[in-house]
Amino acid sequence: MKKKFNLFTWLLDKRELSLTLLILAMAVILSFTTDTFATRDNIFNIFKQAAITAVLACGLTFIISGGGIDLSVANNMCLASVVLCMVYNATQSDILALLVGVVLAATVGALNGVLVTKLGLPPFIVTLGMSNIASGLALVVTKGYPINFSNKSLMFTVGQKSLFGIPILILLIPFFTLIGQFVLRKTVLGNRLQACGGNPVAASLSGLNVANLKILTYTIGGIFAGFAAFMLAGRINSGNPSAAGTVGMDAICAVVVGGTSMAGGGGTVVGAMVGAILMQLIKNALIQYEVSMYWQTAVIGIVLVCVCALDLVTRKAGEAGQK
Amino acid sequence: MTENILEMKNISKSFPGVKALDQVSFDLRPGEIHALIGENGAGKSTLIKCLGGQQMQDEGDIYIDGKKVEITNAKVSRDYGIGIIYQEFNLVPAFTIAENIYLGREYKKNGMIDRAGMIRDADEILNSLGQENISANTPVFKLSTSQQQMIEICKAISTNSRIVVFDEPTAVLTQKETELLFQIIARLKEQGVGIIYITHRLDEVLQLSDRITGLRDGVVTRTINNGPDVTKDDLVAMMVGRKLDAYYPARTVEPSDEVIFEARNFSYRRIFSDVNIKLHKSEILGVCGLVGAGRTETMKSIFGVLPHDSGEVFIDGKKVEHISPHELIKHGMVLLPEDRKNEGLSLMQTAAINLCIPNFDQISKRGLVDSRLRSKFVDKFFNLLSVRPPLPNRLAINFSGGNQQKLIIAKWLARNPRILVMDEPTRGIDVNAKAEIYNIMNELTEQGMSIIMISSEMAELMGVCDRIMVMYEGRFIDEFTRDEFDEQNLARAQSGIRVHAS
Repeated sequence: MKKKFNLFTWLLDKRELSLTLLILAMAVILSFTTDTFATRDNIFNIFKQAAITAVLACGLTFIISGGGIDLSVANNMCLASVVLCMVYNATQSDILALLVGVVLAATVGALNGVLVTKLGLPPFIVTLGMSNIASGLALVVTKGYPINFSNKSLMFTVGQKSLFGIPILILLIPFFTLIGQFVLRKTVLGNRLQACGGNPVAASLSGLNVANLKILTYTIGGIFAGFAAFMLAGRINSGNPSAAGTVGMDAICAVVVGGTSMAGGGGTVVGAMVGAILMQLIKNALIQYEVSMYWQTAVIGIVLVCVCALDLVTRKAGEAGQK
Repeated sequence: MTENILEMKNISKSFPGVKALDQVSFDLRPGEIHALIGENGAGKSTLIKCLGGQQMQDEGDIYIDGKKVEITNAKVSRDYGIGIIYQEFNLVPAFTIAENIYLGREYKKNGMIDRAGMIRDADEILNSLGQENISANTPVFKLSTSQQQMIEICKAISTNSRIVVFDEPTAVLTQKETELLFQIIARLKEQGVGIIYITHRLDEVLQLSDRITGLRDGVVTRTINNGPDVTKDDLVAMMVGRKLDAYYPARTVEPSDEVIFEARNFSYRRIFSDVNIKLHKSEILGVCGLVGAGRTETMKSIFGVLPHDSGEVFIDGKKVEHISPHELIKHGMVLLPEDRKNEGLSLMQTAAINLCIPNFDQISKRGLVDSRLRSKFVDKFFNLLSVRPPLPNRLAINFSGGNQQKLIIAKWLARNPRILVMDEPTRGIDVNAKAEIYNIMNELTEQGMSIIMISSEMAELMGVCDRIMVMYEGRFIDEFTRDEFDEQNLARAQSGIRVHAS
C-alpha cells in the first residue's frame, strides 16, 4: 500500500524542520528588504526576548502534551521572580534565591495539578484562578514596587552579560530545550507523561497512575517557570510584580505552533522552542517594517488560529484518505 | 482432564437498579477456546471487566492455576497473564506501535527509554502475526481499524498472556482479516493459551470454540461442549427467554395504510447499506439488532446528524430536499437520542429550562420571554406526562431516569411532531417508569403520531410494536408483523438467520 507523497502534510508532520525553514526564509527576506534586521544587536535582541518565552514553553510542553493546560505559568514566574529577589537581598545568596524561586514555582504548579486531578476541576479554571492568585500575591509582597538588587549578583550576570561573545540568556535557550527534550523523549517517565495526555484510559489500563503523572507535568511546568523567573529578574534587572505581560499567552502559542496538540499526546520541546523564536521573529519583523506595535498581539493571535486550523484540516484529510 | 487455568466461581456484581451478574461460574482450560454468548446486556462485558481489573466483583472468587487471586486493577490482571482485547481499543493515537505495545513496561537502556529495542521486538511480534508490511515505528493514528486491533493482539501476546480474551473481535474486520485472526487464535491455542471468545456471530462460535457458555440476564444458562450436533438453534435457545419484566398496554389503535414517512436506499460506508424504511400513520415500528448492527447510526444518518453516501427521505410522499435535523424537525420529525444524559438534556439546568429550550417561540412575545406564558407552558407539559416530582425548577440531573425521559419527550411534543424516533427510550429506567413510557407511546399514536423505536430488549419490542424490522450487520434482513412475533425467530434474525424468504 503506497501512499501518495504530500509535501504539505509531510512538512506539517516534520514541524520543527518546517518552522526552522520558515524562520530562515523570513530572515533572508528581512535581511534583503531592511537595513536594520541583519545586525548583531537586532538578532541578539530577538533571541534574548525569545529566551524567557522559550523556557516557559519548554515546561508548558509537558503540561499540554500531558493533556492539560496552564494559564498561570507567566504569573507563577512573576511571583517567583519577586520572591527570589527578596531572598537574594536578604541573604546575598544566588543559589538560595534560585532554589527558593524554583521550589516556589514548582509548588504552585503541583498545586494546580492536585486541584485538577484530585478534585477534578477543569484545568482552565484552576490555572486561571492560580494566575490571578500568583499575580495578586506578587503585588502584595512587593506592595507594587519593583525590587532592585546589586549588579554583583549572578542574576545580573545571567541577564546582562555574555559568554564567548553570546549573551548568556541566549545560551540558556538550547540548554533548557535540550534538558526538556531529553526528559520528554528519552526517558520512560516522559513517554508515560505523554501517554496520559494521548489516551488516559489506555494509560491507566497499562497500569500507569494517571493522576500522579499529570500532577508531575504541572510540577515540571512550574520548575521551568522557576528558572525562567531567575532569567527574568536578571533581564529586567529587578523583581517586577507586573512583568508577566503577554509572555504566558506567547508561550502557549509557541507550544501549539511548535506541534503539540491541545488534545494532548504528541509534541516536542524542540518544536516549542522553535515556535517561541518564530513568535519573536514575527514581532520583530513587524517592527522592521514599521508596523504599529499595537498590531503585534493581533498578529500572534492570527498565527495561532491559522496553525490550529491547518492542523485540523490536514488531520481530517489524512483520516479521510485512510478509509 | 487438564487442570483449569482460570476459574471464576459464583461471581455477582450489582449496579444501581440492576444485577449485572448473579452467581456466575466460568472456567477455562489451557489450549481451549471457550465462547461466551448472550444478548446485549446479558453480562458478558461485566464479567470480562472483573477479569481485567476494571471492576471488582461484589461476591465470588477468581482462581488462576488453582490459586485464589484478587484482581484489583489493570496491572494486576496483566501480571497474572491475562490479556484482554476490548471492543474499544485502548491505544495512544500519537504514539508509535512499539510505544503502545510496551506502554507501562518500557524497555530501558542506561536509564533512557530504549526505543530501538522496543521497535525491534515489536516488529518481530508483528512479523509473527503476518504483518510484515507495517513498521512498528508507525504512529497508531495512521493505522486502519483492523490494524489497530492487530496492535491490541500484539500487546496481549507481548506480555506472554496465558489467558486471552477477545471481545467481539471480528466486528470491525473484513473476511480476509477475519481468516487471519482465526489463524492467530489457532496458533495461540496450540501454544496452550486459554482463549475466551465473545461474539454475536454464531457461525464463528460453532467454527472456533471447544466449549460454549450462554449468559442471560446475568445468569449462566448452560455450558456445553461444542460438536457436530450443536446447531445455531441450540445457541439461540441458550441466549433468549428473558423474563417479561414490564407491563405492556394493549394497543388501542390500528395503524392506517397511509405511509407517512419513508427512507429509501440509505447507505454509509460499511456501516449500513440499502436501508429502506416505511412508516405508517399511527404505527409503532420497532427496530432491533445487536449492538454494532448499525441501528443508531442508521437513524441518526436518516435524521441528518451523521453523514450518508446515498439515500432519500420522503415525508407525506414528498421528498425532503436537504436532509438535516433542522429541515426534518420542520417537517414534523424528531429524534430522541439514545444517550439522553449527553445528547437529550442539559443536566445542570432546571427541568423548566430544558422544556423551553427548543420552544422559546411559544413562550415569548416580541423576543422577550413572557413569564406567565412560560409557567403555563411548563405546567401543561408537566401535567400531560405526569412528570414527578412536579418541581419545574429542580435541576434535570436530579430527576430519575424515567422522568428525565419524560422531560425529553415533553420538550419535543411541544413542537407537535408527527414522527417520533426513540432510541432505547427505556434503557436504565425502572419497571414502572417503563410502563408509563409505553402508555405515553400508545396514547401518542392514538392522536395520529407515528413512532420508530429502537431497542435492544426484544420482549419490549414485542410488547409495544405493531411491526419489527431486524437489522444485521448494517442491513435490514427481516421483518415481522405483530402476529408473527416470536422471540426465537427474532433472535435468529438478529444473528443473521433469515426467517422469511427475501
